[in-house]
Amino acid sequence: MLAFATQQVAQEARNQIKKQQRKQEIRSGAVQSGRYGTLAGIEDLLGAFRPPTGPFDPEGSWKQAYLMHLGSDGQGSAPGFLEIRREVSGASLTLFVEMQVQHMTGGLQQTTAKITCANDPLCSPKSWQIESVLADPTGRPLESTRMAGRATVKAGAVEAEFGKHKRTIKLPGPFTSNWPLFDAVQHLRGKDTAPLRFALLEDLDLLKPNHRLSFAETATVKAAGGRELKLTGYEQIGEGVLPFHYWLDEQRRLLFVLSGPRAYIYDPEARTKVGNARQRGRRKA
Amino acid sequence: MKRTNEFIADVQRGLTRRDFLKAGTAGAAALAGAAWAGAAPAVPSGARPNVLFIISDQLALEAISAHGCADVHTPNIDRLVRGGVSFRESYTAYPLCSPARSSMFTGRMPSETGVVNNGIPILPTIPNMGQWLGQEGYESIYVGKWHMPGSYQADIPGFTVLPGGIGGQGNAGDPGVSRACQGYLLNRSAGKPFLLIASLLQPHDICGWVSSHVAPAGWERMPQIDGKLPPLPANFGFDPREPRMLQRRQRPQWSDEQWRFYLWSYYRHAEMVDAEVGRILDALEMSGEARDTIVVFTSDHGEGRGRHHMVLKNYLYDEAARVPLLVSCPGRIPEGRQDRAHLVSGIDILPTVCDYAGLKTPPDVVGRSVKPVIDGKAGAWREFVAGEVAGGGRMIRTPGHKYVVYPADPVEQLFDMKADSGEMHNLAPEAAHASALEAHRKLLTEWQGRLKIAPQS
Repeated sequence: MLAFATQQVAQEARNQIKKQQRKQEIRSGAVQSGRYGTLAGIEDLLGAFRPPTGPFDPEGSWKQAYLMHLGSDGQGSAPGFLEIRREVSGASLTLFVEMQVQHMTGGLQQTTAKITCANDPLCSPKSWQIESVLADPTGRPLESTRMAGRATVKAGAVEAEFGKHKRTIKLPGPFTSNWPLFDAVQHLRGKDTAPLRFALLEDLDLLKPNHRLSFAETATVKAAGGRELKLTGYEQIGEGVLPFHYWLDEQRRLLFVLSGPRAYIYDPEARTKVGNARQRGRRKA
Repeated sequence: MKRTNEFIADVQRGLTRRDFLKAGTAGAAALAGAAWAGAAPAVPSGARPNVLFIISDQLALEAISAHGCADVHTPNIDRLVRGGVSFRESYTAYPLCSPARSSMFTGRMPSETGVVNNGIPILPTIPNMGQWLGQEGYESIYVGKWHMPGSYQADIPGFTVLPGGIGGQGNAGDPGVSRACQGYLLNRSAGKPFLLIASLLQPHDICGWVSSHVAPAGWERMPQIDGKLPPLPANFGFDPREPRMLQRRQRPQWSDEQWRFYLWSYYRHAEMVDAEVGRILDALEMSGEARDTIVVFTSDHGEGRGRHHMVLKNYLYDEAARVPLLVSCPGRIPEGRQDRAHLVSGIDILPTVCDYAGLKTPPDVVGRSVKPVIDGKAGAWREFVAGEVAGGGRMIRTPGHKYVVYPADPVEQLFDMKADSGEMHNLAPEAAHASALEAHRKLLTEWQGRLKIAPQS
């Protein structure tokens, strides 16, 4: 009982210290206000950002990778990555998605998807296969958490199958998903873009209606080595999300996606960096 | 029936040897040594329902569209409101994460569990819901935030833990929690009844949002949503005769537009948790076990939402203290009933779960099962619910009034909850209400006398 009481007192003290530190940070200006989800909020990340070089054709086949940062003002940890490969073959457009997010206590959420999309402004999904699984701290997938599903869009509804289980999602109208939007924004035309209205089918199964994607503004920022980057920004606003801000370079290559505390930063090495961090974490443990 | 199904084995194989030994030894020692071990009676297992307990974090009772909020769209939580019983006079035992959770899982007040602030473990002599149901053959699974002491823990006494969730980042962690629940529900083999705790973090990310908007200058400007900003609440103001500790926490420096943008942002966070709830409910329906599963939904505390110029939690105004409590199960629980007649509390959750499971409650539980209320057989219900908060703050809420006292502050509060549900007019200093004030002081004293206060509480 004494040990328990001591633990309580120690925890109380830690809480007080954390509160004082936070207050001090705010007073000193170390915590910037109002930069949530903005380029100003990722200033430090931009300073280290090495912009991609070479030509880019958003209409063609490509592969893009992003490091996912978390934390207020985008300055926190990078526990995950997102890779999207776009494959064009004749009239057919397919996106291959792979995402990994490191959870606390060592869990790793892995998601892969193959999405056949329409060649329209929303890159609307027509059919897809998706698989997700949680891995334990050793990296071994917990098979009992594995979800493998496939779905087809028919007559305004998604017909989804998860093994023997079936589900229908009625769509309120035009729709797309968060991963196809990474493609769709790269086909927009700056300030001449007419706003797109749609329902968001987040992660291909969570329906969030009344979304609007539109041109926001242009901006110039300094990247690594003082290199100037001219960016075009679009905003997505709708139910069930904080505003998403998409920032593209002059070749319409999507470099940054910001939403609240979450920032996806273009980084071809994202997978390796996350894997290495996980290894270091395991060794530490 | 398999004693340990494929799922449990799968998770246990995934633990390191050291982790497994640690968890197993601690769990076994706790079970063997605890005074309550074996205290829950064996009951016929045939009719025992599954229990799906979904917890959100910082979801105010009023931030649900089916509860009449026009500024938010929560179609999935609405399914639970329409498909079961929603208690509209529902209070957390303590409007802060860890203390509130300790009460949900034990049926005891935080001053009894020892969890009187964040990051403190439940007193080891008090059984939690997983231990209690687990010893009676339930498969107890935990996914998401725990916070007693760790916000996310690889081992929780009495539970098999699935490692999902990210501290302070519900936006990125909650999808992993709901996916894990989805996988569990669709992959599990029939046999034992389950107790699945899905502990989601949203809309708690509003804490990070507020921290990033402390100063009024330089906010993100979003003209696209100007026409969509929620109005300021009717009780945006406050009675100047407030306890000083409340005045210190107000944020009058924000402009009206900034307050409205904060409200708009909070409701988007609430919609995030709603979507994850939807994924779990859809999985339950697809699994074919919905009719055999009692679904309980609540939140650890609410959110200030500009009422009284306040944000966040850890005080006893209704916006922080009143939380959803929804109970549903098709065919077992009446649909679409919103109960405003009964005062209920987070301490009632464990007794309610035990009641549906056909188990006695653990010793010294101070909560009551709401099943008799749901069944229309409650008879005389309790006279009041009590609340606790940091610094020894205490609340007594009777059907007519709310009384609040903070020991370090000379100002008491008494509100007429029928005439002044926004808590704008403090009656405590007024002689005409001296008898009501005294009656509530007495109720608090009597209530305190019934509790078995933990050391250091």
